[in-house]
Amino acid sequence: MSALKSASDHGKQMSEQHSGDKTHFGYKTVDSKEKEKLVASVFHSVAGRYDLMNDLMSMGIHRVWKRFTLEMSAVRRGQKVLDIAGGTGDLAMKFAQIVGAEGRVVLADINDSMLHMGRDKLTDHGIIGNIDYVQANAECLPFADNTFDLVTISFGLRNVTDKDAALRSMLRVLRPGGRLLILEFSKPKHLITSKVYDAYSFSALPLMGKLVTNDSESYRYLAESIRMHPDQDTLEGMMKNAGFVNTGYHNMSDGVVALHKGIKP
Amino acid sequence: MTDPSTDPSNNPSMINVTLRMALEQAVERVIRLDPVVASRLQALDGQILHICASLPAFTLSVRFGEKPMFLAQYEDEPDCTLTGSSTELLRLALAKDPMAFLPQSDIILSGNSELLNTAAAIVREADFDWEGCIAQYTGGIVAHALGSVVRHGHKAASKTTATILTNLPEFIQEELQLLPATGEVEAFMDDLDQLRLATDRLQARVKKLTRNDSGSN
Repeated sequence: MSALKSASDHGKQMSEQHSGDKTHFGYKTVDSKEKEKLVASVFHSVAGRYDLMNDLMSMGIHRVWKRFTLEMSAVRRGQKVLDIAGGTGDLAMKFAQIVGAEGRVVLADINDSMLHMGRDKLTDHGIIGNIDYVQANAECLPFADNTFDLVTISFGLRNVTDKDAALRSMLRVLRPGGRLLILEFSKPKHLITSKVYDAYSFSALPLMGKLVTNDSESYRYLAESIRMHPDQDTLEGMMKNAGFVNTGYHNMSDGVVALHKGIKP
Repeated sequence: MTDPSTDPSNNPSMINVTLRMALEQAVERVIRLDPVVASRLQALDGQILHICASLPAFTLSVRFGEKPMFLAQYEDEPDCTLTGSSTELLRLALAKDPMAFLPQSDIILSGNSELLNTAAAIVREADFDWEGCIAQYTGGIVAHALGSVVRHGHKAASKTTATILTNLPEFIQEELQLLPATGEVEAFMDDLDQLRLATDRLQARVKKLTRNDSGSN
């Protein structure tokens, strides 16, 4: 029960908490420079069984969330797509099929273990020729201004230390009229969903992590980082502040996950 | 705050998204059972068939390729569009000759009908290796045994059905005598026709005699 209470208390603080040299890592407050290393260690630990764990944790629903993102992307043949924190490449694979040989997809991830997993998986699926793999930090993307027609980041933004800087960076690399899609865990709309979700996150997730990857701490971080992530309206406000227009969001699974959309003017 | 979820026309429903995803995965698995289908689909690479169904409302855009992709809508212009009720579209999907079925239905086809024709031909002429699929899980011997049972079962079922359909009329007419024999019915119908003709002639004759009688008076 203490975990539930703790989750609820922290849920009330749903706002961006990066300030100065300090930021949050789950419920802990750490130096901004340290967070990057801590997040990296989490993903180095889970990379090998990332897809399996995603399926187990979400009961397969993460595939529907990503599919919804794909359908909302409005991407077309010949376009350039940047998939940040692309992990094992679920979205990048579909984008590569849609944009075709004349288009380009860049799968970017700050974590080289995840990037290797993604590259191996996509190559095994025959996705070659129109895809590049780049190890990059979302806060300072190594691409020219006005490069991409679409930028997506799915289940990655909450791990970024300075989210405002990341949003500005995404805006910079988008072409005018280009679209940003952020798929991320968010705040459930109803109390009952929130209670069930908290109970599941703080008891079942670490247990599954322990059983499958022998690493319960990484999955405890996952649950905590979700609670510390800005809620739907806060994130939309951050997108507007960064310079995006026509912003909006779509709640999925009663707000457990939200897809935010914004356009570069 | 702008919440696009308040405008349903902007967003695909989660149920439809799930349906399209499940359909795509099912098709992908079936295609793996016949490599010829995959190569024939590759010939249609990039062409888009858009299906707009009503009652219940459901949209589906199929972009052909070695692995066809199913989305609600592609930003690219579809090559062929089918619009109609869900039931009629389902009947079209099950029809042996879709092009012959189309004029009889309320489905509206616009764009290149050849795409529909070619896609239907690929599905019709596919020879899926179900036995190979089962063999992945059970091994070749068990899969072949299962395949043989199914094939023999199918042959036996077809033969039994044909025999039943041949003998059923005779059994009902001769053994159970629930219905008259075909010959008896035909003879009865002939007699009935003769009687009708005779009645018509008699009626005409009576009318003529009546007119003659009234004329002479």
